Amino acid sequence: MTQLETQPASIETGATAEAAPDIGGLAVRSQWRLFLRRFLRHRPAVLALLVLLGLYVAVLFAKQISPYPITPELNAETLADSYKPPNAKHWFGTDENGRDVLTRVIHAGRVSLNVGLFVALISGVVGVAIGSIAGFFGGVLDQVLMRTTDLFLLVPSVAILSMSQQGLSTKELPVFGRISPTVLMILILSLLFWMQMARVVRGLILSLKEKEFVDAARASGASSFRIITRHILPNIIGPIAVNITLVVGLAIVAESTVSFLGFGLKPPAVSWGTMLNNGESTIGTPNAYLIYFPGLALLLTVLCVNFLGDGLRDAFDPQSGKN
Amino acid sequence: MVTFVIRRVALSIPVLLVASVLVFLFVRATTDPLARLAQVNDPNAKTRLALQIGLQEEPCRPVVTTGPDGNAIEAKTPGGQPVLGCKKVPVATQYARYMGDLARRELPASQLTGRPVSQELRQALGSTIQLIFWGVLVAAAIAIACGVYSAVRQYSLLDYAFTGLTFVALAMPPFWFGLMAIQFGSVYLRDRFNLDDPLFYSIGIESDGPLSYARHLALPVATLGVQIIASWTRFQRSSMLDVMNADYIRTAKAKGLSRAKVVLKHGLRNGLIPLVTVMAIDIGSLFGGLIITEQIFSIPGMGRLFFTSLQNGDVNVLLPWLLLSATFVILFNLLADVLYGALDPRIRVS
Amino acid sequence: MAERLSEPILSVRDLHVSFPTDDGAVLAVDGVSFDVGENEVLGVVGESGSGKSVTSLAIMGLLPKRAVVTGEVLFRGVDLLTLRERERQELRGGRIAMVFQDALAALNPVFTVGHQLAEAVRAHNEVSRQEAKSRSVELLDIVGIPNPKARHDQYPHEFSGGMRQRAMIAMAIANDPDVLIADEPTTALDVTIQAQVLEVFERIQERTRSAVILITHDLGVVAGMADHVLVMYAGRAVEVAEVDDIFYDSKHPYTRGLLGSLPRVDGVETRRLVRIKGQPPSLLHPPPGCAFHPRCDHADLPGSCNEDRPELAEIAPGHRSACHFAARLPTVEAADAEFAPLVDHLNAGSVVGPPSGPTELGPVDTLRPPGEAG
Repeated sequence: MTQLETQPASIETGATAEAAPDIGGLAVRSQWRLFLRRFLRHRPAVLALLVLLGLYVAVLFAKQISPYPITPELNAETLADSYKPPNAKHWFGTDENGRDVLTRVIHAGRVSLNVGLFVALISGVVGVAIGSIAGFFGGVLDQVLMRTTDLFLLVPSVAILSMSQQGLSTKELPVFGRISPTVLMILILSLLFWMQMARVVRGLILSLKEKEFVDAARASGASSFRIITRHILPNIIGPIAVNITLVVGLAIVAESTVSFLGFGLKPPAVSWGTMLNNGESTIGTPNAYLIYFPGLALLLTVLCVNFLGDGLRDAFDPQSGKN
Repeated sequence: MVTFVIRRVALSIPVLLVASVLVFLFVRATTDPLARLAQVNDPNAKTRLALQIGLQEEPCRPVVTTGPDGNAIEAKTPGGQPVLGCKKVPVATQYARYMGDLARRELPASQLTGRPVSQELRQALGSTIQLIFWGVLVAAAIAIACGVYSAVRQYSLLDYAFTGLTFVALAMPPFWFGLMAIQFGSVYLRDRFNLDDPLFYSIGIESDGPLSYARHLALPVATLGVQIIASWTRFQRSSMLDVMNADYIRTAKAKGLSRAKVVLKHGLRNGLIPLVTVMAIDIGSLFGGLIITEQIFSIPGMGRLFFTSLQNGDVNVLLPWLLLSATFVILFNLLADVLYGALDPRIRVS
Repeated sequence: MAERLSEPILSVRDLHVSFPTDDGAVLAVDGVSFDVGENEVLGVVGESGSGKSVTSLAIMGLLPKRAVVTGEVLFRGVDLLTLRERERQELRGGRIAMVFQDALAALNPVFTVGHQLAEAVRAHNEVSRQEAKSRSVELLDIVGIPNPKARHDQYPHEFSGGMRQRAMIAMAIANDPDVLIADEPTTALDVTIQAQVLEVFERIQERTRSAVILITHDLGVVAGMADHVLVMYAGRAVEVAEVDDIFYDSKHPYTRGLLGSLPRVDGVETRRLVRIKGQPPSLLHPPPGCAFHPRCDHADLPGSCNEDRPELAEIAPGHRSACHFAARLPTVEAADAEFAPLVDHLNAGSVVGPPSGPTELGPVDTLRPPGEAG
């Protein structure tokens, strides 16, 4: 009762929720505009998006932007430059081989961000596909999905990831042959993260498939594939986008964690995790600045990704952000 | 209630069995038990190990053929390894035998230390349980206090502060937090105040006396706590917000109860139910989940055991380690269900 | 009852309640005034969103902090809005008590009913646990819950809907309040159970002689119980009159609309007679002039109805209406000739269906005659 009286704004959203199933161009477009307006109102998310875009452009053009080459020749000159704390020439300082840390952070970001992005996309596509099928058709497949995902939760993911990475990066794999540690990392992380998405999508589809507009589509002879892709998925694009965003952050942290432990990517590959692995020994020495910058880059990236996810969630579903 | 518990226990046994099959297959697929002998020159070492961990049926020698000149030549695989002259044991049989060994408590000893794995695991659990105990205690206290405060004083300055902090904490990679904790909490403070010993130690949890114990535990507990505090605070805040908007809270106020009684009795008693179950589930995953913390702070617990075993390819430890971790997760999931039933009378009856 | 029998216990004067939102202030209650005296029942009627619940929460002091409340709520001459929170807490549940709708949600699921009752007793009396318990068993007995000793230790979900509502009433009368506010006390119940609960209510009111504010959207409930009726629309009082005048001589089109949509209770099945067209107005952007004009059949458009806001004006002794055309509306008899029999039916006190209908509580749980109670 009081709710109704104190939240007249919900009338507006109530109306759009009703219009949502109609995916005729007009409803979608106005909904899109509404979404954009709400997203732009979420200042931290907009800022986060800008920072992320900036970071991504920077790492894409890592070679052009970096002040120094990633692997300079090891000679007397560069070695003389080793362990220089942050200064005007090397903003983030140099490492034990006289390599510029800023350059390495940028190049490492390329690996970290790409891992995050690819894992999010692959696990997103797989998760949505399997979640849709399980939710829409139910039955044995659904049971198998739910039980499998339960099982994966039993073993710590860092352990799974470390062991797979350690054991498989040197092996000939049945289908893929020998693959690079980075690609392997992306594949294994995708394997770990698709399930979350599948569960979310499954749940949403379970609740949506009983709705009238699905019945209507079915009555008009639409195939299951068409119902899912044209009628159901457009209605749950919000949670899907939020989930994909959050997976980017999770994947980046997971990669860096395993690489930090020494089981993930290995030199000469460079990611924020390998840089921190490399820098761990400098703790307590004057050269501890080596662990600051890769970590800060990591924190900033994940923070931005989470803010972006938050903004997307609020924009897609204004009610969710109330608490 | 008793039948409920029994039924839940019975239900988790098949889960455990399926999990053990998968873990076994996973370990066999990702690790080569013989790999760590690659550098060893003793040709019988591999055979011995293969026998010991049940990859082979019986001792067998490398296959020897006779060369054109009549001399004996050891047959080699394309990879240069000697071809063994006896059949390998199928994985299914390996699994069955392994489980048999497990039931008889005769698991193969650690390849690294030669000690029985049960002993290794028990010792490691000792340290890990201490970490979990203190970590959960601290985390729960902070999370409940902050969560309740945030919910009751929604949109207050502190609420915003807590929300902001949880945001940063959730984005914080735990291992980097651990490194920074050592750098600043241990080294920097010591140097800054010219202490002989660091205020907070960064290695191990061996101690003499409670104060020293606390100084050893502070940083590891902070490191393992940073994310769980954040996620529990967030959880408690939203569960408490739900509860505080419930009709029965209004009823309690309408009765003329004091604000403290409304919040701490009627609110918290309900608002804790979801948190307690989430806590139980999270605690279960901590037994195998402290790899980072224990590695960074050199605490000889489960996580560090995993790290050294993986680094040294000690399959004999990795396999039971994974099984034990999974068992804890299942056990604490069970506990969560039981607690939920115990705390909510509506579940208790049905 | 044109003249008030006693001094009012509770007087609400020009009450305004607004909620600030991102898009502007929502005026939920806009200048409402009324009095209730001892042993009087005031029915407050309106659709959801009309501000009737907010009014009651304002009296209780249970509105969220962000709510802006102005005006006066005089309890025995003391303005509650000027009291400290501590003092209001003393009154809440003690002198002024409230029965909420949907007792399942309003009772705490994790405590036994008896515990929650005893808590109400102990909040205002220095009594031992044991005394509080025997008092709460007694209370359960008063509201007609069979086997109160055993029921005392049960949880709300183990009670039937009707019993829960009775437990709510027991909780409200635990300290013999002077003012009892009942917010839709029967809405969540089956029709047959509704009647039983209302009967309990009436009986209780005879005992305690409290001033009762009965909030409902259901005119049928008001007909059997109330002395006076206040009809609210979009946060304002639109008609105030004695109960008979409301039913037989309403001077506001909205009240008439409500009467027209009164569910007829012939047995189990209820159906709407006439629907008021359109939706309740937005409180954020209320229509200009009379808030009801977009839905009104009698509105003079464009004209006074969408330009001037009609004030609540006396059109007969004890009968006030906020309608420009109050004096010119056709008589009720002419408008709804078919309605009168129903009102008689309701006034006879039998809002209940045929007694043969299945009751939720079963034979053990039927109400005792009033004399036997307590």
